[in-house]
Amino acid sequence: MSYDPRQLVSPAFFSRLDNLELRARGIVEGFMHGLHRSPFVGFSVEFASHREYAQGDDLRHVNWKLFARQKRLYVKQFDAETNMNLYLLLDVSGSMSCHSKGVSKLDYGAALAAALAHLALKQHDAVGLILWADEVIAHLPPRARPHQLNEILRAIGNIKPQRISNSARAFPQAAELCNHRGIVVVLSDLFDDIDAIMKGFDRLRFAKHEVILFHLWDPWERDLPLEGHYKFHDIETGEVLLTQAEGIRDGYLAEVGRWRDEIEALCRNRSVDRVELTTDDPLDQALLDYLVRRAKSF
Amino acid sequence: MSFIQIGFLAALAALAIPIIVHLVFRQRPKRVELGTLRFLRVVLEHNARRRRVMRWLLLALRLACVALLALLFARPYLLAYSSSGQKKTAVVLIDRSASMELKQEGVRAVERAVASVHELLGKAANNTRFEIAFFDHQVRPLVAPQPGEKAEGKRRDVSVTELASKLVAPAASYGGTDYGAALEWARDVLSKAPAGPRELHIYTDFQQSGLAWSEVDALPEDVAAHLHDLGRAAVNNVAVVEARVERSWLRPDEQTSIHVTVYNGGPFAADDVPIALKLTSQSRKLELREQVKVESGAMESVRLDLPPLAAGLWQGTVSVETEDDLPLDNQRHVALLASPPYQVLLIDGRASPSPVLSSTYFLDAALRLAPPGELYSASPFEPRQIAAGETIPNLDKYDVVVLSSVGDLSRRDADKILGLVERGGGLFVFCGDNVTAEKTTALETAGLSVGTITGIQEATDLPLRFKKWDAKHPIFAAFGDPQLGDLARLSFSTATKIEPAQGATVLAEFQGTLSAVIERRIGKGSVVWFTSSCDGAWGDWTRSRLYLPLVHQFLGYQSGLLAGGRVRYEVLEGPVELPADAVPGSFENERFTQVINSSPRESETDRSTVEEFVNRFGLKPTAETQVEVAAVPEEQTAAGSELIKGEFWHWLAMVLVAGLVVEGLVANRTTA
Repeated sequence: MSYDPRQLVSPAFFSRLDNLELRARGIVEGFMHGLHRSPFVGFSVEFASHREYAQGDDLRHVNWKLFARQKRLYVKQFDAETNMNLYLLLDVSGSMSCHSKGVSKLDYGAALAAALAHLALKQHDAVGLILWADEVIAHLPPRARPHQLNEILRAIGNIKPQRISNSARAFPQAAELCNHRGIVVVLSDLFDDIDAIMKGFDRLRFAKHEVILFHLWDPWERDLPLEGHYKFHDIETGEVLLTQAEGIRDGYLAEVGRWRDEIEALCRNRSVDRVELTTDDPLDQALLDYLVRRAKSF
Repeated sequence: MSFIQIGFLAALAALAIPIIVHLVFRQRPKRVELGTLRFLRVVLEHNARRRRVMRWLLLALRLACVALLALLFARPYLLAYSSSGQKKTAVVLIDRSASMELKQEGVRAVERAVASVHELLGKAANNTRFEIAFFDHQVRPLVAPQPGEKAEGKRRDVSVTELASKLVAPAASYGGTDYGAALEWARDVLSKAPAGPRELHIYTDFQQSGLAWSEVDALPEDVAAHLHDLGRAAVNNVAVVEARVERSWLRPDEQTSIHVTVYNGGPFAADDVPIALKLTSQSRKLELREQVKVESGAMESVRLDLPPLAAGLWQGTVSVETEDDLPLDNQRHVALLASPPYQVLLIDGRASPSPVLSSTYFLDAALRLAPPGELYSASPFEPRQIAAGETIPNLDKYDVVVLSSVGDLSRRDADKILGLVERGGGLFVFCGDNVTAEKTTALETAGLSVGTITGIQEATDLPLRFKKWDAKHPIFAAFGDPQLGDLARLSFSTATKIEPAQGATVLAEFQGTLSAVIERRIGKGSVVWFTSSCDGAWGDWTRSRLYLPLVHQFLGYQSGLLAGGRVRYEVLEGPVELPADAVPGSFENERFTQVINSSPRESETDRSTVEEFVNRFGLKPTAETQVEVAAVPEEQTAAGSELIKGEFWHWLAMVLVAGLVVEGLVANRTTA
């Protein structure tokens, strides 16, 4: 069963995302009260109010003047600002159409992009979208308007993955389009020249962007849980390989593992937050896990 | 390597199955789309060589498994399980002497031997060439040599199946045991065998009496002897080992005796062993009984005196009426002939009113005398003289016709004589003055001459003497020892010169290659010419003490006396001239009665040890020596189900299992 893109605009989906934010906040606050900063809160903040100091609060946020007057410790609270840019770089190359479990990586990535856009727009952050394959195919500049989500959803809904990815070409174009400092979320399977991808990351990092990589996998691509004689087709190149799946699984997993480790190391060196997801991971749960993890890191 | 079930090799066609399976299934892979094949490509490129090797290995393993399965059912066996791999020759000697009639658990020893040889054939490797022979006093090859094989010294290879089909235990055995003859035959066969391992299998009861025959040349060094013992440790046997008739050919109303010897081969003394003589002659019967006590391992003789016998042939048996383990030697056949002596017709070519002057005077006198040394005083010949020119009587009752210096014989008389000779009678011609080429035309026309008469040879300075003679011929065999009578001392003054004809044999010569005695076989009889006279006209040999024995030899040969007389006794042992299928009994022939008895040696069931046997014949025994041959099983093993020596299908089975295991392991680790 193929993935239905209409899920992206279904009220149930966004309802789950709203709950997601609440749940994330609840989990984090219950976990480590006083240190919480919403994943999208704190990137750029404006004073909102004071509250009484609690153990664990950052001393930098203590209002010392008020302490001098009141002889009590108060910390300053900030509201999120709306001038933060979130760039969603969604890979729409042919390889993203792999869908062994019904949901393609592109569908999954699109849903994820929609979710992120929704969350960011709720915080009044500007959200932009760049669709790329061998080059930048579509571009929505970041805006914080409420109907920006609809624009994004429309752009995603029109995706037809057919092209070969060319990171060496697409990433510079995308970097040019990310002209304001912000958060760049890359949603891709990275099935391209790894050096070119890393150069793209370097360029984004050079532009002071925070880069988050959602590394998307199809379960068959990652684990090759197959047995028997298979004719494997490369979606992008049309290349065909005929082999016995179980006979090469160990070597395949080792090779995939080696590649993942290499990607992980390269991302870590560049302070790129890499999140690995497979299309059978529940989207909301995966996003929740990531947001919690990210919140803890602040 | 060869196969028992060659038909199963057709299953090798199943080798196509793995290939077909491979070809069929390779066309049906499931299609899978992946975002990238980079990882697969790396893995496959990295393992390409290994995968290729593994694929071929897998294919080879599968083909090998199928081939092994086919070979397994084809039951392969090694042509030669010896390291040399050469063709092996196995000579099998099966004792079929009378003693092999001894039963063990109800089965005759010879039957057990045959069953054991069948087993040997069944287990034999395919490259083994068998030569099988039964033996007693004669060697009887199971497959007689084809014409020409004997001369060329080659034998065709006879298949084991053919041998097995022909190998049947004889219905009854009567012969004596002659290991010497058998081993001589085996030695000849093994000596002519092609290069390769050589074996000798002897299935026998190790009868000790069989060892005492002729000397045998040692077998080739490399011949491995397998001795198979079929004998019994203790045998209860009472036998008539001899029934000797004092005179088996006697005159009517004469009396004679039979000496009967009884042997007790059992472990205990036999008291009052009843002996019975039963004779019949047409409707007349004669029965005598006697009893004798014989100690264990001893012999006792009894003389049975017969009453005067009426004319005729008396045939019967002497038997001991007792039960023992070997019944066939409990009786011996006897035959007695009460009849006149040989009838000899002397035709005198120089007849004279004075008997002294006739040419047959000395001959007639000599024939009427018994030869020296004989117990019986009467002569075996009864001569009758007629003068040449007289009408020759009917020759039916005559055995030999003697022509003494006879010329001008009528053609009719010559034909009469020819008829006699063709029926088995004899014609003896003494030459003389009347015997010339011109006067013997009738004889020559009738085919009774032995050559061309070319004249007369008279002695000049020295008398004519026998220069050489055929010492093996029955006529002259008695004179083999010069001390018994030197024929060279006989002197003759004259002899007829005869150029021997084709087909005639010169039995003796005077000096100067002058033929003295010439023989020619005609029909069942023979014609013998003596080129000198039988009287004193052409020599003084009539006064020699050799005259009587020599003329008795002459006529004894022609009448059949030298061959055994009217009643001839034969024992089935040694080199006897009897048909291979001869059995004990009394058999009437045209001119004599033949009595055949089993070998008395067979009654002596004492056994030799293996060591004695081996040492006696210089055998090279193997570890299998003296294998006890079991009794024939009640149910024969189904043909083809028994394991053949050299079969290795069980090894193939193990290899197949191992191959299947390896195939499973390789298959799980092999990618297409």
